Amino acid sequence: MEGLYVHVPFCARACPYCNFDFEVGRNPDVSGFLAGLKREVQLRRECELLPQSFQTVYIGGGTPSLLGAAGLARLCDWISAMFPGSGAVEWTVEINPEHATPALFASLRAHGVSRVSLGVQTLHPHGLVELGRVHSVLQARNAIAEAAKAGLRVSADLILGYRGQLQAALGDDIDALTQSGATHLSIYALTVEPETPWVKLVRRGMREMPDEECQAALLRHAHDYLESQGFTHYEVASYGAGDHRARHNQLYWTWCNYTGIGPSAHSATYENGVVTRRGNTRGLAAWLREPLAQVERLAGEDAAREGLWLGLRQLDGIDVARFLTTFAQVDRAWLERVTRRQVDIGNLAWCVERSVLKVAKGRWLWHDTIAEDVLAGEVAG
Amino acid sequence: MLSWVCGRCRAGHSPSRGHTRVPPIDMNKPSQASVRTPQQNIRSFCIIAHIDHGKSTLADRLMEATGLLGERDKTAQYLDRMDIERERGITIKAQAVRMRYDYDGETYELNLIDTPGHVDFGYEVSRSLSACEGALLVVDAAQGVEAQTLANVYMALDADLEIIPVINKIDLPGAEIDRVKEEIEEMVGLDASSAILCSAKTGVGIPDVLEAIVALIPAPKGNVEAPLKALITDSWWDAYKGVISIIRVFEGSIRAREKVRFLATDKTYEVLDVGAYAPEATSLPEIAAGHVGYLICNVKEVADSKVGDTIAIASDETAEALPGFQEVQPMVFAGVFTSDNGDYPVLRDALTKLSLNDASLTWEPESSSALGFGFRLGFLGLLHMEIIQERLEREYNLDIITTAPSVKYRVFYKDGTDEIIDNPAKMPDPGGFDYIEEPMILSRIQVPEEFLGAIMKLCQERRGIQTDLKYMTSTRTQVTYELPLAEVVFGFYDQLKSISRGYASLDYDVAEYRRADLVRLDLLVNGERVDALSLITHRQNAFNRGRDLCVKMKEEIPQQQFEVAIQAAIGSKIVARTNVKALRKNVLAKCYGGDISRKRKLIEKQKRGKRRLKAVGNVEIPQGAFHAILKID
Ligand SMILES: Nc1nc2c(ncn2[C@@H]2O[C@H](COP(=O)(O)OP(=O)(O)OP(=O)(O)O)[C@@H](O)[C@H]2O)c(=O)[nH]1
Ligand code: SF4
Ligand SMILES: [Mg+2]
Repeated sequence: MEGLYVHVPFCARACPYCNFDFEVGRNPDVSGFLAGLKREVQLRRECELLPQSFQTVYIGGGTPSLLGAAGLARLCDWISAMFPGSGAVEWTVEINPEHATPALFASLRAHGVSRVSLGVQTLHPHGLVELGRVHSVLQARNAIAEAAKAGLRVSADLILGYRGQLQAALGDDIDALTQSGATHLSIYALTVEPETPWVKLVRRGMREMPDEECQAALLRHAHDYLESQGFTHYEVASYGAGDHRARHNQLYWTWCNYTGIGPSAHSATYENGVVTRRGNTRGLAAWLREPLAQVERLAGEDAAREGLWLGLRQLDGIDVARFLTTFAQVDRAWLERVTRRQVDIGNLAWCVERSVLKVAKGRWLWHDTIAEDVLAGEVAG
Repeated sequence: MLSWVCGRCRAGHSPSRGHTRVPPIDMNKPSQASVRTPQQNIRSFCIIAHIDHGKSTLADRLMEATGLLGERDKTAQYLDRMDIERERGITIKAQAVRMRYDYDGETYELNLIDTPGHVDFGYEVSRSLSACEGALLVVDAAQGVEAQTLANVYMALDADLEIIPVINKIDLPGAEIDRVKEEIEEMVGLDASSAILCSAKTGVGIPDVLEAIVALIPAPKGNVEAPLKALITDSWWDAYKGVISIIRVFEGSIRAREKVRFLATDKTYEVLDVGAYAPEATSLPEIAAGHVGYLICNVKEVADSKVGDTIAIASDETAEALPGFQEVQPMVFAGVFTSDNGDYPVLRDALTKLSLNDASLTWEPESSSALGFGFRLGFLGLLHMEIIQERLEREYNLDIITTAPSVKYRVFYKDGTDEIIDNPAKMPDPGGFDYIEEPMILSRIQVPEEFLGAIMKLCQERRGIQTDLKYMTSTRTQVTYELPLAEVVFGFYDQLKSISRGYASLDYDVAEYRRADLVRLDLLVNGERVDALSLITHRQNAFNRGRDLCVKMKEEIPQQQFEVAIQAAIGSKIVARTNVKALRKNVLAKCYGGDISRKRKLIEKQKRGKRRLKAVGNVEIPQGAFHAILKID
């Protein structure tokens, strides 16, 4: 499986906690952007092998829905023309609730899109204000319902742990999302990146830094509630109803190749245990001038450590046999050594006769602690 | 004795490093060593004073005045050659130089020894004295007589030296020459009417100092025909020549190819070379009574050429040692571990090299369950400890963790046996011994009257027993306290200085061992003893110490996935407790394709920051926590 990610670098306004790559403005230059994508693909076809087609496509941002139904249709057509047959397994577009209309969803359906990811973030008016979102609660609920009605699979994002969020209301929020038709939820704690406006707002007393303890309680609560509702917590920040999984995102955690185009988009290829990661230039103007920025190559133990960390994001764990074939440079003994400490303290567990290694029940809340050891811990003798 | 001077340039760098930036002494003249000075024209003296009163600066002026230091050698405190000495502005290692001085138609050979003022290095002073006939007692014109001034005078009097009082820093606006003269008469008991007034800064009075040296200090009187008797005043290890010693010959003479015996070690060696530093090493046919020079034998280790030892001709079986030889004993002990366990061999090499030239540094392997393998080091005092730590870090690029300093306890068991223990972790549980004795010191503290009350309170808190109190002048007092050495090791000196706004000065002698109700206080983390944090304290202080230690540890230990219980215990009895709340989560938000590299680097960086954590059971303890114990008082 291989996936294509397209980064749409436009937002109507900047959310105070966000450090993604985007340009602020209401009227994005779709033609210019498409020309840039075309140029990037040409350039990359000259110097590296790009697949002819991708099983999954993900259009993210930024705010792709700012392109409008017509703009998105052009983009989708362009993708299908460039990489015929793409998106057969899954084709996702990120949509902001304020842009959702039945016509938009119908058009997306018609252009091959099978799934939308809705940036709901919260279902409380004051939460929307706090997070600087412009849509309303009603818009969010309608967006989900309309998308589902149009035959799209719907994922919604929820941010936990902003000031004033109540644990008691969380179950109702989740109910509202699932009853509206969302079958996939991305749930994550608000993290404030350095150099985002949030940091300045905190200094002026207009925001607070999230409280770890309260976030932990909310995350745990969401987890328990969703599991009781038949959702599977299949990745640290992802829950799926039934068999709904974010197939494109799963590529990131299962050592699959993906190609990212557009400003700041990243690509990765796995070959004989060596991982090559390419990062595009950040910023629309800079990317238009010179799209390709840096290449990073990880080999040997480093690649294996990274693979292990990413694999463990999925809560049903890593298939050890597949891990050892992908990263043939290491062996089972190495794997046992690198993970011994975390296994000892109960954060990781071997199961199915030691053919699977996974994050122990309830320990996903300390995934970074696990990651630290897996990525950079000393290897015990 | 601290002797880590490079044998080639006489500069203070370790054998592992290059020669320092201090320029060699410029000698465009023919070597002075070849001029054989008659005994009556030799003057050997040392410069003694309280710390910072200007000994090294005065030495600079004397060297300049006799032409030994040229214009271009003008680095302040020329004889402080070690980087550490220059940075801290203090003398650690006594240094000898020979100068030529023409006066009244005669040429004199002046052997000057600059000594350290800090109490840790008192032994450097005492053995310097034994190689001299006189001493310049430098007193700061603004500070007056202080504790080490007295301590050093007493040593000089014991050694029968002619003492010349020199009042220095008269250029200072705060100089009070009359008061200082009074203090010298009243406190020191020397006639101050003829005290020389000078400024080592401006050069005023320097010719007077030189004249006084020639006029007042007696020439050596040794009998050249008598059997050899020479004193080792310094020795160091040279990568090319092995151990080089500086000797002062008192009787007889010494030549190459003679067989000599070192009395303290009772070992016999063949003399390979003798000569003088003037200032370059120059071979001489012999060193005769009254002279100072270097000696090279086939001695393998500095420890075999002990400072203060006497050298005689091997065949002279009845030779008696010169008085005053004393092995230097480390007083303060601490464990030294590397942050990175892989650096252990580097630490071992570093200690081997450091101790080649510093016979007062002792070390033996130690292992700690918290810190892994390391060494237990013995030091002369806290300054010595600080200096060794700094040298390990700087010269050998080691990242080390030092445990809290301890003293040597004597533990008596019920079966009548006893044992010396210098590591709190090894102290038996209460009930496991009969009684413990701890080392005492006799400290003399000089302090202006107004601070006396506060100082006495401090000493009482430190379990001191006052034995004497006298007024040295109408406003300056000297109190004498017997204090447990262990109490002085923890921040006492800093407190003394801050309570007295810098006016108190301290000097001490090591006294006897005395029985005390001492207990081992352990720190437990989630029920596991952290051996490197055990300490020995008097029972009556144990509760407070325990509580303070718990509080400090709570500040140092970061939140972990589990709640961490911190307890202080005596044996099985918990005397204080607190806990570090559990970290409720540690998880990044999302992690998609574009974030992978950035997040990986972020996590790696976090981990690198924590790599120095030491694991005790499941609890990770940062290095800083091992110093927490030093921050309580
Ligand atoms: N104003 C003034 N300052 C002086 C004089 N002599 C020395 N100093 C200063 O006093 C400080 C201490 O001088 P040192 O020569 O290092 O003193 P020391 O006695 O050798 O010190 P230790 O070796 O550490 O005991 C330095 O800052 C000198 O510059 C003087 O005559 N006048
Ligand atoms: S969170 Fe999304 S919509 Fe808000 S600024 Fe970031 S990319 Fe744009
Ligand atoms: Mg000095």
